[in-house]
Amino acid sequence: MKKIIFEQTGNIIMILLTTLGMIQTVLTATVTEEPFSFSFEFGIFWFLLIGWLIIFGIARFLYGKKKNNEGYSTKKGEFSTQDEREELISIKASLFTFKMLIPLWIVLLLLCFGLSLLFTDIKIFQTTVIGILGGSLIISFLTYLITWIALDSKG
Amino acid sequence: MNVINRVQIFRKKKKMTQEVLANKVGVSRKTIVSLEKGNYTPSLLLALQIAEVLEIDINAIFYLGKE
Repeated sequence: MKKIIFEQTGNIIMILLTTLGMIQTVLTATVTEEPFSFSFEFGIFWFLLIGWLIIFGIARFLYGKKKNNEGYSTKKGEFSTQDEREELISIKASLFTFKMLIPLWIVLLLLCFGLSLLFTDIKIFQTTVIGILGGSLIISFLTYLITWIALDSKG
Repeated sequence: MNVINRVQIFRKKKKMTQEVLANKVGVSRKTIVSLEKGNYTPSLLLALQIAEVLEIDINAIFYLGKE
């Protein structure tokens, strides 16, 4: 269970920082057409993301090398399993996450469509869409994690 | 139909802990716990390995039950 918590926590932080970095960049970006010029701010969140990727990368490497790591593999990540029961849990958690995500993405697609008609400020729309996509990824990581823990605890 | 097992009975007869059995068949202790509680049905391979470690015929440990 620890390996899944470790991996998904890392993934959630990574997506959170990526989303915030993108939103910050979009908000600070300026485009002029005549003459064409483009500028944006490489904000704090991108630096935090780079820092996190280095820390998480090292932590993953060390966890992968550790003895008694519950079968954690850096290649498999959140799909790492120790035995056949955990393989089954991983499959069930993936299936549940998929089943939850499809209707969620349909709702989000309709929401983006609705917002695109309502929003007059393009920047608000851009950041909202980035936020929605990032948020849905975080929800999917959380769903997999919670399902995995629930199925593992049931045994 | 479900699979009923008597792993716990034969394991205790052998005076073997769940941890030892788990190590011998290459699974986690949690899997043995889950299996003994009847919450998890093992694969044929794992069932055969358990039978071999406990030195009991597989049919005596695992059998079909009507539920």
